[in-house]
Amino acid sequence: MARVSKTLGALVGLHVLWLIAAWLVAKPVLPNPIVVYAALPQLWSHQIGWHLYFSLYRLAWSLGWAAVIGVPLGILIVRAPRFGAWLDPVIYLTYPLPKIALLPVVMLLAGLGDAAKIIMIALITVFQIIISVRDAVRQVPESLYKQLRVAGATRWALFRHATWPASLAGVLTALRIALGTAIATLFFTEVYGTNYGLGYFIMDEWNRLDYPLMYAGIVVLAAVAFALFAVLNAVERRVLRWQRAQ
Amino acid sequence: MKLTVAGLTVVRGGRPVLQDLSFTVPDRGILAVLGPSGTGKTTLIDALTRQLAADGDCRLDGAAIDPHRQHLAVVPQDYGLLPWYTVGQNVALPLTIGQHRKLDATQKAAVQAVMAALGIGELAGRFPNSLSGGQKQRVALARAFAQAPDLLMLDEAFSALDPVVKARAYRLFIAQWQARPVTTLLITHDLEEALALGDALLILHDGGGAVRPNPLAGVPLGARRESARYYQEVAALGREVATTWQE
Repeated sequence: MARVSKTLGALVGLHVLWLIAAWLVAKPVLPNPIVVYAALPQLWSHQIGWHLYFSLYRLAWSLGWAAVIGVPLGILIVRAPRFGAWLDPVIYLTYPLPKIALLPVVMLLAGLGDAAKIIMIALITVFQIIISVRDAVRQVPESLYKQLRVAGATRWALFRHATWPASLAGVLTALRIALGTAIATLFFTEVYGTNYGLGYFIMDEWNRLDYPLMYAGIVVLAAVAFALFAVLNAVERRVLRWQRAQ
Repeated sequence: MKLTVAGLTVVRGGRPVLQDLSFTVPDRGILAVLGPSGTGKTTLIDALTRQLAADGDCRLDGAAIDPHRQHLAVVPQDYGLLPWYTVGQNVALPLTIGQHRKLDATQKAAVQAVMAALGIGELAGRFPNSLSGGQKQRVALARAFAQAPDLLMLDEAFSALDPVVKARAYRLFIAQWQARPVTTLLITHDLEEALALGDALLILHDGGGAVRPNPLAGVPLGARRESARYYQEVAALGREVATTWQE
């Protein structure tokens, strides 16, 4: 309950700041929140449902692929030392590269459609997932594995009872961090080669100089990000409740 | 089950940690293995449980030791509890590991009985992170006893406890052990603990050592610390090992 009231307080505070900024700037490029919220019902006639659907579709696929590729790689780096000795330096070298600069290359290879957008977001977020999972699995003390092996655990049992629960902590931490990056990248990739998506909608309204609708699109994008964070937090609270039991 | 170790040799980094070590522990006997850090006490457990490559022959009632065929239980110094499982799940885990089924009624009753006897019945739904050191230690003991092991190995299992908690842990361990006697290896650097709990002593030195009877073996388990001879024997053993342990 305290957290809900704190979140609501922060929301009210942000709107007050927005109101003051709009009043100080006093130009159409920064309408006040009342004007923007009044424009929200118009979103329905601008197919906001489809824009939302395409953005969520691209986010889900890209984060899904990033997790499907990143989680096993993060685990293997630790649990398969020979493979890790080869992959870890590759990750170390490629992680800091600004992958967004590869957008033209990805578009040339994968076309202008959804594939390029999904590949681009997955390419950027997969590194965060690999590193978080790798670090989480590395933190499992060898004594836990030893304990399980003494009890007669098979390789599958070792994975199920030690590696997987430990990596889940890394996956959820990485997804939370990656979500912000993914939404930023989504916005960038939706500027080109599509007529649907929240990024396209916001930029389109900007080109039409319809600032209240542009801001309404930004509000929807922010609400989507907040809702996804809330879902991830709820999953984390449920799955990682052992971490808070102190 | 009778534990027989013959010619056990473990080499690490070109250096023999255990060298031609041989001993036996009779069925339901407790062998206290003594030695300071680095003398191969934990290596002995790792070798017995086949966690590392070793030469030699280790058998339980004539059968080569194999964690997949025999019930082995280790209580390590850090208790080895899985932090993502509740106390109840941790205690029950060795009974179901590698099997795709839940505990049956008998197993469930055995787990509950051990947990109740060790005073952790109320903690079944808690996670290890929320427990004190003494509580974690009791959970680790419950996990070991619940599986009715063929061989129990305590690897400095009491050493992280403060004296008051340790005294209670000894009492609980002895009560459990007397209720479910099991062949036991007690790995410790604590001379008092070795004399209080062991039937026999093995002092590791230079990778080897010979078993000798505990001079207090005639005093019932649980009464040794109150025995008039207890501190004399601790002092005598201390004088004996002082030279070798300082080397």
